[in-house]
Amino acid sequence: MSQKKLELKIVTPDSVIYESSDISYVTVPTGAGEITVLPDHIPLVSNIKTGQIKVGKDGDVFALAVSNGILEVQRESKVVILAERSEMAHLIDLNRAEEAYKRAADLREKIKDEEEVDDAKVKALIDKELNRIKVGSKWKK
Amino acid sequence: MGLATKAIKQKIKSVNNIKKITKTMEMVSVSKMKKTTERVVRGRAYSRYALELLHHIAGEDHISHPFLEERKTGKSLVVVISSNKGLAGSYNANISKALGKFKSNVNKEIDCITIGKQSEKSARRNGLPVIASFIDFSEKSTSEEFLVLRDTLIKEFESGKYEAIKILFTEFKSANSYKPFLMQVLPVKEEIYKDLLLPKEGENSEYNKEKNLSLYSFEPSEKEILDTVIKQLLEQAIFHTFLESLASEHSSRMFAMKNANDSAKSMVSQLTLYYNRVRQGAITQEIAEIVGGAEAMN
Repeated sequence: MSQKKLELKIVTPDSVIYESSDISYVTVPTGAGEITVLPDHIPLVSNIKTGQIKVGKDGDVFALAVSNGILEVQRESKVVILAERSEMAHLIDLNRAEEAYKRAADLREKIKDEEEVDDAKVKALIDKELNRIKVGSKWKK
Repeated sequence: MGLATKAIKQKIKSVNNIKKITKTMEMVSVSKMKKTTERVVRGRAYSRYALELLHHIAGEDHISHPFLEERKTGKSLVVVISSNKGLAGSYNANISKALGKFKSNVNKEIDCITIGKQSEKSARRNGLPVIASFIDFSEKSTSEEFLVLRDTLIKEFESGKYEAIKILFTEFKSANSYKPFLMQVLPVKEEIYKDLLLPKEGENSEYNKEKNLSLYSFEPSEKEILDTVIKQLLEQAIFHTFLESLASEHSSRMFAMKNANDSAKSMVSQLTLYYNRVRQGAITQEIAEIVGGAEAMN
């Protein structure tokens, strides 16, 4: 049975993280909740929150950590994900992610009493690092 | 061996010093250019998809959003990007010229926001008011530092004072080809991205010029998505134009310094030749004088 496949591209400002035209489905954490895109999905634009992207390919599943992005589903089963940051889950260096998280947490502790600093930004940073740790450790082989 | 040779010697020395400086500047530019070019090339995929998405959204007829609507009245706002430092060949002059051309083509009042000391000068030379000037951006800047600029642009646009906001930057095509480019960022219009989406040298792009006919649906809501999406894409677009300019600046300076170094080299060899001739002449003259003196004694 020849099945239709998705063409997926995950791009960050630094590089093309992942590219394949042989994808069965992709699950993305959007602003309106998690959605799964299958082949022949209607064209869609949505924002992506911090979380994990799950990709199904050849009966196999793998994941990527993602934060802040845009999902564009084009015609003919093309999916483009523009993310501020994204990493393949099995490539995340857990030790470094832990360190980065600690740094962010320390920073938050330090600026707690200063009023002018934007707490939301630091919180977003902490969320991002926590997400990396979570996704990274979950998909560690 | 009089004053003439001494003066020439001094000149050779000073030209040699200049040569050393231009050589150093060339080397610095080479390494900076390599780094920024790498960043530009790496960021191109993202910026291309971002532009494509804006292009698709703007091509949709059923969508309405303040950022997409054309305006009939108001001033123009131009963000002029060039360098802080001079000595970059024709890099800054080209931007200044392009700004002058834009001014004479557009029959409207123009305000400028400048990035880099040189572009502030260009704006003043063209007699355009500068409403904000950024001089702290460098090759170390991250896209987050550009949020200030983006928010300023959005605020100015939302105030309704301006008909359009454009960015004047230098597009980096390859190491020896870059030219000023005027890109409209707000309102987002479909046709303005066509040129930018054409494949660049040494790049394979599957971008097709045909109109994308998808009718997008937006989740959770059209307004919310367009707000965040356009803002996010703008941020990247602004940052990328800056990177392109930076890469152009460094390679332009590299070539300028290479040329300066070459002319210094040929100047030194000419001066050395001249110096030797004068020295030889002086010796010949001295011998002639001695011989003449000896003859007179007989």
